Amino acid sequence: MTTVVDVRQVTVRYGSTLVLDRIDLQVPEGGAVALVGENGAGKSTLLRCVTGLQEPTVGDVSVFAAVPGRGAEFWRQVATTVESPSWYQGLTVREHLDLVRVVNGGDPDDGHIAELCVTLGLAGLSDSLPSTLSSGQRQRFLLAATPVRPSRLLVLDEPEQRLDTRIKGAVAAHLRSYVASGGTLVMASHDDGFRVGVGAGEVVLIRPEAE
Amino acid sequence: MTSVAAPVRPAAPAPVHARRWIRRRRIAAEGRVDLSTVYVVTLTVLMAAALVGEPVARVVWPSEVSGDPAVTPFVAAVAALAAFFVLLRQLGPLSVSRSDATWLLLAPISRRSLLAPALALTTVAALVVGAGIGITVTGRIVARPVELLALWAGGLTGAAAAVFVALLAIAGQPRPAAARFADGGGVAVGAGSLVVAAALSATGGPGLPAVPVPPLVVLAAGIAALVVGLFLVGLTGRAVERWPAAPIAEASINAGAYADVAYAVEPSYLAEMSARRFWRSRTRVRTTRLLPTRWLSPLIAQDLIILRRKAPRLWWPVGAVAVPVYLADGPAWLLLGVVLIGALGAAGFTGESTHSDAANPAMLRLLGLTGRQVTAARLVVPAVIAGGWLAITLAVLQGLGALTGPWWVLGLLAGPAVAAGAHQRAKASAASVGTILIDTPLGAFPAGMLLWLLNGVDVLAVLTLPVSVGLVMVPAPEVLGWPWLLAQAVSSALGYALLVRLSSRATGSL
Repeated sequence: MTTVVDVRQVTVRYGSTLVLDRIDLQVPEGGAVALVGENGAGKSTLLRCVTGLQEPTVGDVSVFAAVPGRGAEFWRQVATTVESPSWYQGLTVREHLDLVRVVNGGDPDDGHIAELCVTLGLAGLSDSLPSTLSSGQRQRFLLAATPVRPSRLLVLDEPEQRLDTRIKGAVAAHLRSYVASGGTLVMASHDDGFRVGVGAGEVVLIRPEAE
Repeated sequence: MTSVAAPVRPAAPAPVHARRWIRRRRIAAEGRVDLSTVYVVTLTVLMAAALVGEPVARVVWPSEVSGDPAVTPFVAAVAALAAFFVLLRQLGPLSVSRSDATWLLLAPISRRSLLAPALALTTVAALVVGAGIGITVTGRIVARPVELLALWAGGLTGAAAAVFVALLAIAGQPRPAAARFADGGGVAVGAGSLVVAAALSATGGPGLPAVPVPPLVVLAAGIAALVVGLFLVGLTGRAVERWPAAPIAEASINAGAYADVAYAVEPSYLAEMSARRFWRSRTRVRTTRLLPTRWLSPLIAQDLIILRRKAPRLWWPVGAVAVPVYLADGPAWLLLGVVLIGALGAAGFTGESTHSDAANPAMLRLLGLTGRQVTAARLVVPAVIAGGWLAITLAVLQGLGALTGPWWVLGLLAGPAVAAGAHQRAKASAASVGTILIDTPLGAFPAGMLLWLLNGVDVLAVLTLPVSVGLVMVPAPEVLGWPWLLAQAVSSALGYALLVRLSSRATGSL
């Protein structure tokens, strides 16, 4: 099976702080992996390396057999919540979702957006401007905007954060069906129940200092 | 059982004492006023005076009154008072420093004395601005030599009018819903007066009544109005005691942010904050069906949606069309500057999305678009707006007889060139201009604000050379020939193509 994410001997340092120490990670196409570990174990940093938003100090990262983060082709295949967008101030929640789907060649009226909005409890917020959303609503909005567009790899940073139990279950089911349909998933998570719900394998990261 | 004495309830401290105590602590820790701040402020004032002092003095006090006195200066004064109202509303107007808002606003101390300095400052500002407006009007309607009595009458009446405007702005502060209508009214009156004043100055306008009111009567009315105004300011000072904390806190945050901007720490933050306030006040936004439309590029559709929603702000560019009319007979460089800067302002109307993408390109990555694709689409709507604005402005100047030939076509053709300048301007972030310091003999001068103001103007100046040179070289009765149109079309096309070409081929940067 093709390896989608290939991380080899990656080390990341922020100044004198060692964040990742010679990490290896291979995720095959259609695979789901959850990075787990205590705060500061380097989960988000590793996800940033996978999306090309962070250069490793030492080591190699390749995604779809290429250096990640370069060019439009990469970003057409990879969707991520590692960074939070500053939403366009004058567009409503629904218009953002329409924009993301239309620009990526999807049909905004095929029911996909409506279904995601119901799943994530955003149905009543379609006409809201993003600046008026609470932090929990923003998290759900970001989670809706990411799978609204077609992708082959999802990179999610603690997608279960700030979600209530019902929505957490619905998001887990959605991600499970994404993987079942051939998508690849790499995420960081602190919630074991959620991880099991998604069906993701566990990769434990340990803080280098704690070794 | 042992009786326990009730705890002594401490008396509320007087805020003036609290503030004095805090000031003493601060002086002990940081020393008195920072000399470099005084230097920067003085240098800024001197530079501004050197740059625009003479033309401003000429506008305020022309050496002689040409023709019969007309009503135009009064209409222009209404526009200036409306602008003063809008400015006061932007600033609060009653605010306290951010640290006072944090520590004293929620403390059990009298709100009246907490806000007394802000109220005094607003009143003094109104008196100064109003007197300036009154004196300017006097200078434009009274024949030379001017009696001292007439000068006093003009100054005091103007000051009284501005005090009432300030009272209106203060009254709106704790009533956000009513104030929103007042804001809209202020902008509409300001822009409307500009247009009316321009129309009047173009057509000569009706003259003042043949029997003018004696200056003594004006002076008496002005003094009476001023006394009533100041009395109402006193009553307002009592009324603020019952104000809720929210409007004061919000005004303090805004005033603090403006202070940051003035210090050039984060100049582009000004536009961002103004946009955030505007969008927060939009409560009746409904999702449109324009984005799913197949025949329109999604990013162009996005700009059109923003344009439709910002319609309440369209008053300013519409009113600004009138400004060049005043300058039709003035120096060509001033007319040129106003025409091009007005067009740049109109083209920047939908620039928030570009600014947001430049500051945080995460949305571009989510969209999976390259910088080139984004730039090509985001230039379209600004090009149309700027082209339309220039076409109307130049057509109006043509109608007045200041220009002859197909000037409105030249304006339309210059649209993309102006859009290119506006795009460069929207892309600029604080990081690119905010921290640049200019060395002067007495120390470093933070040039952030100046550079931020000039940003994009360089691109504009180069790409609109045919318009600029045309305005200087081809005044009426000379007719504008087609080579000028061709030159502008080529310049606009080149500018558009170059800007797209120089944009990033990668996703995630512009």
